[in-house]
Amino acid sequence: MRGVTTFGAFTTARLGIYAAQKGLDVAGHNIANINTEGYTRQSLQQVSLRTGNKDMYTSIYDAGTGSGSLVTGISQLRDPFLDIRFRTEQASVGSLNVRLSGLNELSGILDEVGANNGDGILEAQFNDLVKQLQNLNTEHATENEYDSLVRSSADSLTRLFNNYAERLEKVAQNESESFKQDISNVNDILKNLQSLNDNIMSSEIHGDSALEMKDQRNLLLDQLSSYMKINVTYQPVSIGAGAKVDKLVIKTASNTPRLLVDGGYATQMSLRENTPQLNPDYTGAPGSQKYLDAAGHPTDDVTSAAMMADTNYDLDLTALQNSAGKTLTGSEAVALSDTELYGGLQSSREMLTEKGEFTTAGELMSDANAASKRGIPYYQNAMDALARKFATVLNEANTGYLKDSGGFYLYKNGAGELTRLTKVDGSALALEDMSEAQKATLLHTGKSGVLFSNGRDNLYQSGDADYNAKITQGITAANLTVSKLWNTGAVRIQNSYVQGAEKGEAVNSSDNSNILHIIALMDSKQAYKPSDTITGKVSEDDPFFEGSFQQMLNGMQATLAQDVKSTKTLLNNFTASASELNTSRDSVSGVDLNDEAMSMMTYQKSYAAACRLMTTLDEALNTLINNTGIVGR
Amino acid sequence: MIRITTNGTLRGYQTNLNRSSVNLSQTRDKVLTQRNFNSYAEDPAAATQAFKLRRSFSRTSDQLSNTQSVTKKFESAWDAINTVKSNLTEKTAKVSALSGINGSTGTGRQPLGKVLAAAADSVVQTMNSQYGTSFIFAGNDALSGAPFAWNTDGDLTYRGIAVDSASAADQQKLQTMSAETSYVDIGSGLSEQNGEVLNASAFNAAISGLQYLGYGTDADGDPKNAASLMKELSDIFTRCDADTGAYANATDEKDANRLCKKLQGTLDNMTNEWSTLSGKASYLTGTEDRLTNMVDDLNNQILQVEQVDLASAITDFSWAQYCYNAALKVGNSILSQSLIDYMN
Repeated sequence: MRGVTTFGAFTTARLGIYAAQKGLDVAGHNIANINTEGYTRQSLQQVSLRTGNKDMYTSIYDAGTGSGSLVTGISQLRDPFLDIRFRTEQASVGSLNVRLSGLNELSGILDEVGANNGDGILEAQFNDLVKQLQNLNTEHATENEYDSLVRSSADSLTRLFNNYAERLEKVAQNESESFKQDISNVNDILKNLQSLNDNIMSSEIHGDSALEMKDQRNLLLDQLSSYMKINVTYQPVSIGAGAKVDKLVIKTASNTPRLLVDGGYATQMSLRENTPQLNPDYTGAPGSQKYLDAAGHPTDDVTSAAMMADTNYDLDLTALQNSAGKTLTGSEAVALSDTELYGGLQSSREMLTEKGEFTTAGELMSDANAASKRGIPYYQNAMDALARKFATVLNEANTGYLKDSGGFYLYKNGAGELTRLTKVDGSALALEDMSEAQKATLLHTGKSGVLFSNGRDNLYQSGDADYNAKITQGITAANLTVSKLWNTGAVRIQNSYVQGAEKGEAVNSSDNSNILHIIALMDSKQAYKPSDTITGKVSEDDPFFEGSFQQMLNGMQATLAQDVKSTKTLLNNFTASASELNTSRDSVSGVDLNDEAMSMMTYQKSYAAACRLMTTLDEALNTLINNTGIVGR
Repeated sequence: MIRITTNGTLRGYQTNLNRSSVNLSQTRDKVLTQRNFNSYAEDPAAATQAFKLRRSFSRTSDQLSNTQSVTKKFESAWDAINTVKSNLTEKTAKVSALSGINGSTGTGRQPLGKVLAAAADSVVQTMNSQYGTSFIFAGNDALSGAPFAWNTDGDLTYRGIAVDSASAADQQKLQTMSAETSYVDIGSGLSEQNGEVLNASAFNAAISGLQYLGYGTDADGDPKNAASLMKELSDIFTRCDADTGAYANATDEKDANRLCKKLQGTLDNMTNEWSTLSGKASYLTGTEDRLTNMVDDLNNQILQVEQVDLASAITDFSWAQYCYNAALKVGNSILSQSLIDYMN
């Protein structure tokens, strides 16, 4: 007979005790880590041990038994498919989360619902301006104190514009800081992954499964996935002697996958400092050239293009390096294109750069959907467009020329007499039909002039050539101000341009035709075009909005509100879905107290049973040794 | 069958409790603020509508205040013209003139002349009345000074031009002045065409004294202006003999009779214009009523859009509170037991 040894069964009992002990240890470890973030439930791997083989002389009646149980290792319970699905959702959650927080910051400024007892802030100031104009118009056309009231109201309005612009700029700065912080976080994650990969691989080579480090790595991968959509693969690598270990490879999940981590090699991300100057008029049509050289001439040669500071928050990836600074063979630095990433980082970039309808044709070439994406610059541009339109329209209305009661523009002839400007047939000559020379002869009356300026009034003298053009050029929400001329009383709201009877170049004191015109302008439809505020060829120069000043403001607020609403809904959906997937992941990988209680009971019983086996064997051997063959002694 | 782990249960509970808490907070906000929405994003369509209504409310309030102001001015004008028409022209000047040309009372012509001169001055003074800082009857140059004045030649002038001037240029100017406009927005749909306000879309608040007193001369070369006629009659009567009251000459007598008739004519004209003014004033009063109603309507509409239905808001809040309390109660027992608690 083969394999029958007297004390063999003691080994079986010992192995049983050992396995049960290990099982209790694992249950204890699981219970201890129930609240450890990222911890994956561990389980004991056991195999049944059987030694010896049958040989040719073995009796067919010999029944072979096993020799107990062996603990072969401790493993994690994880479903890789759930990981992939969770991380994909996580990229969307991250993307929408960042977007929503950016939009909420903007809403904090532009959303006037409920403010000021429901009347709004900028909105209410527009109403107040109309009210003051109406007061001036009704019976007080040339009374200075009423003009001052209009001016005070206009001054408050310009200050609100300035304040909104300043706060929008602050939001942009905060978003920029947070974007830079995110890049630094991503770089930290990539570095940590690199070092964990090194450690895991070296542990695995030495036979340790490095489960805790893998948990840490999975946690980092989850974090990374909220910044950008990634593809994670494990590739077996031979370590000699037929043994293999898994190498972690992370790539961006885009049409052109970029390697982020390859085992012990990892890339680092950085903001691009300089970029070739794009030709704002570039359309992509044949003959249209993409860049501008130093002299401002279009060129298609990127090397001769002028370099300028990158304001598009473009990202670069360095070549992959290991911890010793050695570059991975074949790896090179990569300049990421405008739309390669998806996730929190990209959303942050889009908040910082997207201009919606203010996108130039050149910018549209790098992102075909740019015209429908609206970030902080869109709202800044829209506020600028509103401020500029408001200032331009009112300035224009307040800088007309003297006419007579018949509607004819007047000029002074050689003898200094006021004379009508007429067409050949004697009818009135319209302003748009006049030559520049004719326009130069027209007469200003009363205190007409520029009401709003770009705040540079102090840099020039009112007698300077093109003074009006200089102080009104490039008005934005940030610099809009009541002109110095109006502030000092040199200019007032011009009540009329119609020459009064017996008044020479002056107008009648209570003729309010121009004030009423300004009141009508406050509610009249204006067309807002992208080209009003931006330089360079725009994708579409149709008006993106037509309506009064206040309607434009409401339109802007409604666009933002709609964006917040839809982003919130999407975020809720993705969060619910990610949370469900996380629960599913947890149902595989999480620790459950009932499970562990079951394990404890199972292993405790098997421990007791193995001990009992030993006692039984002891008793059996005691019988054999001490009580066998003693009959008759 | 899916495994429900301890932490999975906890996380699920946390998520749901949080949702319940958010819901409670939102319904509480509605009750506290009594507003249907507290941010633009909550209901973009209603928020846009609310701003639009509030804008209309603001504009209508402005128009109402414009109307009230213009109404008061027109009421003052009505009073002034009434005084000129009834007291001065009809009761004083006309009676004096008729007495003057009537032979039986002819002896008192000289004093009557003085009465007429005083009446003419009073007419001019009344026509120079002010409403606030503006001269009511000065057309659209109401802030420059009194429109009517006697010049050194004793002629009546309107803003510097003799109202009885026979010159075509002056006539043209007077005609322009009598038709001056000063439009005010009283909610008739203010609109413009080619930068010019459409007449029907605003109310012309300019009142020219020329329309009421008259201007220019007629075919006989006599003034059409009531005050000038009084003045001329006064001059004729003053020239009469102090004792007998006899006319200085035959022409004077003829003139006096003619001018007296013409004074009656200007009175008719004044009455007509006064009726037109009454019409305008009552139109303004009607507009005031209409705008007041509109302000009320708009206010109601704003409340309908913005204000929450308290009954349903409180019901929602109570329900949210009930759900939240229930969630808390569940939380207390969510992890009370596991197999471990039953192990010996």
